[in-house]
Amino acid sequence: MNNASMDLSSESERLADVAVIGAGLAGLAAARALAAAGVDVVVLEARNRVGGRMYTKPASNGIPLDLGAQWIGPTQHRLAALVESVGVTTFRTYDTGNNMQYQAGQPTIYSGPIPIGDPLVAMETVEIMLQLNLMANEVPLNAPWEAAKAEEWDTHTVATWMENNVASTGVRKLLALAIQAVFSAEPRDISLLHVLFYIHSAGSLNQLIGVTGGAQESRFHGGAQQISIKAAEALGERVILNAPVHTISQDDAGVRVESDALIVKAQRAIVAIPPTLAGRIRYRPILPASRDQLTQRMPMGTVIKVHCIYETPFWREEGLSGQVTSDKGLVRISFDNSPESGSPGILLAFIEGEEGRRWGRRSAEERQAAVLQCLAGYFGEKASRPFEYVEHNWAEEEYSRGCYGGYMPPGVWTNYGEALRTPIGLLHWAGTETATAWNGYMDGAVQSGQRAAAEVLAALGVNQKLAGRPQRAALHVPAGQE
Amino acid sequence: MATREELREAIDDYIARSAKSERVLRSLRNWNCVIYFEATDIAAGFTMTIKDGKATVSDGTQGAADLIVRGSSEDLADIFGGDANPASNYMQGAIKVQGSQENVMRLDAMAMLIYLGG
Repeated sequence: MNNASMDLSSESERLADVAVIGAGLAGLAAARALAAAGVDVVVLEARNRVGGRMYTKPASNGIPLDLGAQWIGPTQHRLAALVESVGVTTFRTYDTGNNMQYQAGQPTIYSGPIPIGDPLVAMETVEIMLQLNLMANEVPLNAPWEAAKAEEWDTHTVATWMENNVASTGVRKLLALAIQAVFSAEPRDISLLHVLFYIHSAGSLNQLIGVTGGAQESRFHGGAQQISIKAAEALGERVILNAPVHTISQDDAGVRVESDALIVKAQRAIVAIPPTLAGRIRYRPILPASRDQLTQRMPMGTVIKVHCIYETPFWREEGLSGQVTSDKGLVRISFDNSPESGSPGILLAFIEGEEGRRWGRRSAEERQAAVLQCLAGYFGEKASRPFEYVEHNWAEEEYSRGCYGGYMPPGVWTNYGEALRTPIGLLHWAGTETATAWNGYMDGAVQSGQRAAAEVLAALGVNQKLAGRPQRAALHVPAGQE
Repeated sequence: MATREELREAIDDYIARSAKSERVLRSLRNWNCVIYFEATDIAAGFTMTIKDGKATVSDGTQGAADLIVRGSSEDLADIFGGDANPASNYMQGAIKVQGSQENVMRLDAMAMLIYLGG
């Protein structure tokens, strides 16, 4: 209760041109674009921090740990530009040495993004990945429901598609692992059309799962949340923390956004939070059924992210990269998440999808014991003795309710897809779930924020070419007449 | 370093192996693409034409290429000879590919299939 915003009485009102709900990367990117165009913007953030699903916390020795989003890869140009402009730097993810693939508890060693221990499985994997990539290319990024086979693909989950199209059990397990790793959900949960859209939005499945050359290629000095923190610092008092929004009303006079801290009256609002959280806000008048029901149908993934910190990255001495894939166990994916200096050694372990759901119900002590036992199975006894263990369960975060993102089960894209981005009156929608490039990633969040800001600027009649110059005079157009 | 002749031999061998592999032939189906390979250290270039499920090769440039692949003669020879995993970290840095996403992903798949034994 020591935050300045808590001193504001619930009666406090603030006038602005635009209210942005959520100071995650999407909301901050939107606010940056609006502020640069001279628009008076206020960002309301529910938490006592900015960054949303980007959350960096120091370990006991001060090493920054990314408990949420942490990677940037090739073709994520929007994120790269923002990162550069706020002065954050990157370094390569440790991707040297051999990866390990565990099948039924037996390890094989491989390098590169695809386990090649069993050449027949590897070859079918290559063929299936190509098939999915080519199918993904047929999904229009702006309107996945317009794909020629949208109805068929949106009827299938990845699991039912695999039953009909993937002969080898080994390949099915690898593809299931890729789905768990990318969506923190199960193949039976997700529409095939959604997965194809997602692959296309990233470029290819290879880019989604790759380290070098893929989405996991580089990390941020000081942690990913630095990007949001620096972007928020530049926005100054426009960003208000501890202000969870509970009601958004709109009428001819404009938008009224009510939070626990203050009320913002604006010409337009951008809701920059995941659909499921947007659905928990009360709207007056009520939103159209298609939009409301969409928010009932985009669940968040389930992931517990674990850091195990050791004196040294001892696996490197054995020629191992720290990357494991496994077809069983609560930890099926791991990475070397040591700092750039290589000291201390940090293993990053993910508990995803069904394992995240199951183990999220267990006590922290049981979970820790199981994770360490699992890692010891992969890396030897030393792995069971980290000097520090840090985990974060995103499903328990009130203002995320899961990670990495919201996904679409069957039938959602084709029945409700148009409601994902279409503005409703004076309300606009952002958040990485609304992105057409790198959907679900930080880059997608930036794209979505910039796109929503552009919609608002167009609606308000602000010339974006004059960005940076005061434009207030242009804004005082009676609402509804733009 | 590989010589122009060695590289050409490796490419010819690569095409011969691809023609014998059912999986590679499946991946080439419905794919028409002109690929220009350039060995930057020996200033040698080869054009691979993929049409109607068949690959052929000729020396030098043969018109506009859909894909351009550049690397050292040694790295290219290692890939064509099946001695290097084309998806390995080293190759991702050493070999530069320019072209559409679809052509790149098809070439990736073809190279991986041949490396894995087709």
